[in-house]
Amino acid sequence: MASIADVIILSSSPIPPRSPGLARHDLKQVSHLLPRGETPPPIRSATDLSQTHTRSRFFPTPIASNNYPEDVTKPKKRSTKKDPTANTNNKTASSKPRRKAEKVADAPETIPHGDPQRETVGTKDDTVKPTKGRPRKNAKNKDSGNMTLAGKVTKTSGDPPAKKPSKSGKKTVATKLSPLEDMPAKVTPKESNALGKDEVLHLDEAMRRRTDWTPPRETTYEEIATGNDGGRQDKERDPNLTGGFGKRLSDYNYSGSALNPRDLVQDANGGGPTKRRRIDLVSPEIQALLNGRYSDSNDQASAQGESMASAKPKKTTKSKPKKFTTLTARMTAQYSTIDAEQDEPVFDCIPDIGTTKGRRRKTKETEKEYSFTVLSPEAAVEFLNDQDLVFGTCSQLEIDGSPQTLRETQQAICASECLSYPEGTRNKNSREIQESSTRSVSRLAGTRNLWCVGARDTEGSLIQPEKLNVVDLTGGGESPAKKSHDNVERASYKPLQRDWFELEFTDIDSPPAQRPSSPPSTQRGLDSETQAQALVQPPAPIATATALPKAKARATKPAKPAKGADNTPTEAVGSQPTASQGPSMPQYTGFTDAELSKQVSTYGFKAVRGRKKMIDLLQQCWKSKHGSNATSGSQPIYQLEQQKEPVSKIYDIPSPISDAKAKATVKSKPAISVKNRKSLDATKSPSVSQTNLQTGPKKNSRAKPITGTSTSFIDVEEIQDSEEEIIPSPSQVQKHYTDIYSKSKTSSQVQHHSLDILTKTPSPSPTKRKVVSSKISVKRPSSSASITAMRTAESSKEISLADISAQITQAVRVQPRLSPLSSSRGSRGRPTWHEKILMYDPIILEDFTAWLNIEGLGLVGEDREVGTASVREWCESKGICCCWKKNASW
Amino acid sequence: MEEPENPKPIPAYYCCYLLRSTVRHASLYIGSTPNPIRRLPQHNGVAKGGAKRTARDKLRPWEMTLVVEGFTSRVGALQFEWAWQHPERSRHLDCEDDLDPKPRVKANANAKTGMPKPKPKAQTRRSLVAHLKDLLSLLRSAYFSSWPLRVRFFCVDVYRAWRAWNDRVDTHLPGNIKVILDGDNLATSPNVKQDDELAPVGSINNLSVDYTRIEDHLENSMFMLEDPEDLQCTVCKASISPDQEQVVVCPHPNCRGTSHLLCLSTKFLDATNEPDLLVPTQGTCPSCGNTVQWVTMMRELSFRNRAEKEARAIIRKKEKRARKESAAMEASSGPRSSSIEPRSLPEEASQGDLGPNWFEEVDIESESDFEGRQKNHSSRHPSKLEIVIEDSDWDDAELIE
Repeated sequence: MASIADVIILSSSPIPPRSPGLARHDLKQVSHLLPRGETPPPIRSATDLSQTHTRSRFFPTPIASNNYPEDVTKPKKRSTKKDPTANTNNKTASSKPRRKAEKVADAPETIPHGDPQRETVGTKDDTVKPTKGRPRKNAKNKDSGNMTLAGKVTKTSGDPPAKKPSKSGKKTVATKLSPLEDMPAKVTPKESNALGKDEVLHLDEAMRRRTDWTPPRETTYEEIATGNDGGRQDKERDPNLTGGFGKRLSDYNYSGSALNPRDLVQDANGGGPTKRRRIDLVSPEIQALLNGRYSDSNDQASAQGESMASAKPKKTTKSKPKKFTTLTARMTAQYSTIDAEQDEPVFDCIPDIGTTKGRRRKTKETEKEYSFTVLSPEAAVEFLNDQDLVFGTCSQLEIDGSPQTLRETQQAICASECLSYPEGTRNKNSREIQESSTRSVSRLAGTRNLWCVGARDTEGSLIQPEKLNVVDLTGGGESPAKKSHDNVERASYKPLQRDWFELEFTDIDSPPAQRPSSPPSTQRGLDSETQAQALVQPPAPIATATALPKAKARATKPAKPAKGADNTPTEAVGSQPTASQGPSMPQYTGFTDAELSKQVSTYGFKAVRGRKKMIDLLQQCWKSKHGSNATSGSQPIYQLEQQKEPVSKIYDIPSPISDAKAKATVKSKPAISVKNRKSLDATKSPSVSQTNLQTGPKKNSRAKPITGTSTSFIDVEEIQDSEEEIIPSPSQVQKHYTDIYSKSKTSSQVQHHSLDILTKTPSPSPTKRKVVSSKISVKRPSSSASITAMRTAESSKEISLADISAQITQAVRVQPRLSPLSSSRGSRGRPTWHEKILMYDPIILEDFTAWLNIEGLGLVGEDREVGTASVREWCESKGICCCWKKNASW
Repeated sequence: MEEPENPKPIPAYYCCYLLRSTVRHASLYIGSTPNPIRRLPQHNGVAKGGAKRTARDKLRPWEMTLVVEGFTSRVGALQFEWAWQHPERSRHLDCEDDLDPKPRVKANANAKTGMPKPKPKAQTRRSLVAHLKDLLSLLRSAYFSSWPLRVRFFCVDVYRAWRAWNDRVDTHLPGNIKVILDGDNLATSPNVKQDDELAPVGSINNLSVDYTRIEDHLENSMFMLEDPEDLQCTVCKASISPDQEQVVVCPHPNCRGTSHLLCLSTKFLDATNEPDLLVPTQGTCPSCGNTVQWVTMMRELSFRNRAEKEARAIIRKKEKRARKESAAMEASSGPRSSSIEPRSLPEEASQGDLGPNWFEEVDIESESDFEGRQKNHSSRHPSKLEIVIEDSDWDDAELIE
């Protein structure tokens, strides 16, 4: 506020409303304290401000303008000549001021006198050349400057009474008090210099500008008033000082106002041609408002002082509303609640001041609005909570239409989820959140995540194929017979699916026929389509389980099933092929890196670098988890079996579950309570059932030995392909899971386990196998099982050096020397690691580590793997020069 | 496994040195070079390529107060140099002084940030004693202690300080690291014998920095292996095929013992009673019964196998020189003065054939001051740097300076 006030003061008039207050303080202080020191500074500050600003902004002050014409026209040459004239002028000027001062002295008590006086003076200045001379003198010499200064002081400050007596004294004192006087003198020369540089300026323009910027009447009155106050008291103490400062003020302000009678008139009219000034003026009054002190703007109040101001607050405030036109004013006004209240009555009173009524109303309204919007924290929080957050691109949001429809769709989605994911409230919540946040796209992601979540049972451990097997043993046998039920199943859950879509898209005005195709299209291309299918499926099985009869399904469904029911047959047929593909592998390529890494972590792997690697790993994991043939459409047999499985499984259980659900309507929690383990499996979560589907072949393998062997063969082949990579092959991952599981639950796994081992032994790379087979074939079987398990944990584990170093050493020693007769060029071309070490070759850690992990440690039956760090430690402990690959070229 | 096509032979000579300003003894500099004879003039501004830190005229001339020689690879020498230059950051020194946990912690932190260890750069100038202390610690560290290094002192006062420090710490160098008193430490300038690398040489300029030292050995082995039919491994008694196997030849002039690399090493290692040892330092030749230094044989072996042309060039030079000598019948001082000539020649010959890759380039690059080399390498390996973020001093080395 202060700053604003200052600015106003500066721009408008040197001694604005504020000055009186200062003056008063000064008076008090002065009276008590030192006369000189106290009085000058406040005034001085004001003057300084005015000076600087005037200097910077308004070079063409009247004085300057007066000076300049001569300077410009008659450069320095003339200055010498001029001196005398200037002196004379000064003298005349000084004399005149005295007279004026005298006149003023009489006037002080009367309020309005200030203006006329100044005006007269101004006119005189304008018209008469002597005024021109004044400033010049200041600039030129201290001598004359002193003289003129003194004279000015009397004029400007408007302290006629004070100056009268002291006139002569002032002069003398002024001369004597060189330091004090020097201040202004010094300042003025600078100004003059500056002006001189700006010689280009035209006087006329300057004059015009000046008029534009002259202060309004009010301030001038104020000045006078202050002058009076200060003057009286100053007289007694230090006429000179006050006079000097007052003089300065007069230089910039008073004379100007005097020069511009027009301005005054304009002000009186209320709307000057210049917008600028008015804006500036706004702030001082605001300040006045805020301060609650007097507003001295009114003509009458100016001279009357405090009592008057306090007595007539309304009048003073009247002027304020006008000025709230600036943004800052409005904004700041909000925070001064009391003042704002005061303002309102003021507004009513305002019309006098002449701003348009519309404006006022506007401001009023805006103010009210603002006050309304400023909420208490709690209210704000509440407000926010009430708001529905809908994220999406503009286009999406636009398409989605009204918040009402959004809300409805969300509710519908929630409802459908409640059905499909009865047990996992957490899932539901997360899904809801995602749903609400990113609409359709996020929904897909959500389902994908749910897949992963669903792959784990309630304790968070991976759901094991064995569990499924138990189910399958029963279901598998029946499966062939159940084929026929497939269609029924499809038909039954298709409507549900259909409803689901419809719920989502009903509000969009798309023809119903297009709906099934529309969801994928809204998502991202092909990827989304498969995902959409995956999405569709999870709810399906359970839905079918809960509501085999269509009527039930409809009853449970919250929204508009009727429509869907009509279309079901055709749709079922149409969507059958896609659905029959079973849970397709999520399109990892469509994932973001973050999602990928998350997925990787869900599979229990450490973060892998490189998007490609991650995708590969995920795909392998997925394959291994869901069965290697899940994605491959080329194996129709397994697909068929997959299809059968769910059907059979569900079909076996229908009555208990459906009953339970019928009772529970939406929430299927009670279903879990049913002790039947089958039901447990079934209700687990759609993804569980999915995994069941995927692992179907495996189950089959146990149930039907023939198919089992075939699948195991397939696994083996994959292993060989992927063995070269460090990434564990799907079979290994699978093995990992199975191992873990077998530890926890070893029921009837023996057979399966042994089978697994047999199939997996060929997994290591062919070369390795050769070596191994030749030498350590005995160890192989025992270690093979654990090797695969350990490998998955490889990178994450920090293997202690002590444990492994001996093994490394052993491995290095054991490495068979390539016999000269072997096909390779011989050991000279490819020395063994021990030979390299013996020859002081710097060991490249990456290569050495790779060898150790691939081959070396296997030679000594070590299952663990080592990282480069531990290998380096080993090398350094042995004093073997080692380095990283990048440094090998050194 | 993916051995570079042309693995480098063990350099004939590579050393780290402690340079000291003769004008102001407090000014010290650590560098490494395969050829101190050429390197010192560079530091002194006589030849181009001196390190920036040694470029101030006020401090010149510089002297090599001591050299640590016998590095078996350039990488090793650079590692040692770096560790010596940055004792506060070297893991080897930390491992030496502190117990194990600390370096491990540091390594972890390093792996996390992937940046140099948080330790401040600590470029405080270190005193001579501090350098000597670091040197001792390094030589005793697990990594370097088994290397076939030698410390050669050229300045008496430096050696005195070294001794003082050793006494104070009351520790001793590992047995395989020899300390050679040279230069000022000797009352009389020694009679230089080329084939004994442990002998004092009197001054840096007399150091034998090329393969001429092994030329006899080389000549012998090449001569023998050219006709390997009747040769057999002295250990396993199987016939040897030098084209396909790593065959070691006893360095003793009159010994015709040849053996498989692994056979002989196993024999040597078995004799040490240290089951964990992988590289012997020395052993007894099963053929002649003399004690042979393992590194000597390896140097010859690697040079013979990996730089055949250069080896042959050296042999030719030697024959030529021998003819000349016999013809001119120069004085006994011949070997010394003439030794300069063969030193430069083989290098020149090798340059054309092997390219800058293995040992000539060493001179240019490694001899330039540390900063320069760092810059050079960091610019060369930026891509790999990203891949390998494992904790390593060498990563740090790349990032520092």
